[in-house]
Amino acid sequence: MAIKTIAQFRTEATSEIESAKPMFAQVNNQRREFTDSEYTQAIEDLAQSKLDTQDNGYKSARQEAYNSIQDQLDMQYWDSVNSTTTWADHIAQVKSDNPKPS
Amino acid sequence: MAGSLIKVDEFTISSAVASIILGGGSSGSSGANVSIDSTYDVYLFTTTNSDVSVDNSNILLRVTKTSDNSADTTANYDNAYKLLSPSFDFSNQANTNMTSFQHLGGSGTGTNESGVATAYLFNWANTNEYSFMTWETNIYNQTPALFSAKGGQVHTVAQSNNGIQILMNTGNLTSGTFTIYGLRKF
Repeated sequence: MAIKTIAQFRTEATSEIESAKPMFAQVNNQRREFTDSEYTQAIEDLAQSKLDTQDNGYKSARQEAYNSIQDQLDMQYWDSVNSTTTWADHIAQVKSDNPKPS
Repeated sequence: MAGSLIKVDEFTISSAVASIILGGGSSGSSGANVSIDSTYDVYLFTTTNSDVSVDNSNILLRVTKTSDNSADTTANYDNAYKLLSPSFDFSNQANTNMTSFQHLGGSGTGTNESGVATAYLFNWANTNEYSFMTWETNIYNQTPALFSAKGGQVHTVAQSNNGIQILMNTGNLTSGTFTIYGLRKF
């Protein structure tokens, strides 16, 4: 998957925020629509969030997908006993399923 | 000791919104027109039963500036915390120069998915110190399960802040009660 630039994410975010309008803020006991500057900030926030997910999302996805350290040690032990590659296969599968963006 | 927590401001969402502010003077959501100030040395910020409109979205926080009651959107938010879950090994997390604090990341829309949190706020109104929070959150997410974060966050600008903005990275907050208390001085 091609890496997107922040400018491309800003374009995406602008489209999504436009679709989400009207958005509201609660101010001084009144629910009112976002001001222009608040919409601009929401677009920037969404774009930055998308950029962070692209650049770093694979890390948290891998963290969640890896078996526990205890299970991995157990895999390594049995791999050494049985001359198998269960542990290496597991690591490779997680990396493959959650690729680093390039 | 009775009466040690003094409620300063509270807002319960009744209609979906993308931004609310506790304290923050005239920018505050409740209309109480109150601010975090030097009345108390430490404030407690609580989040109860938060729900969102977009699955796997993030509830974020920003300080609001005493100077103009607006949220500080500059990239001066840092944190470090332990992420806990029964579904994977606990992990250390750290971020610098974000444009907001993290709060309840990965909030979901499924049945019974909800978030709660407590944070103690230090130096918020002190013009000479950074604003700190100690921070504990819990989110129930059906897949995989409970997520808990425990750590600290700091806004690395020596300025006076008078409130806290709760916002979304995408979508709306659909329910939740947000409260700040002052820790009474004796």
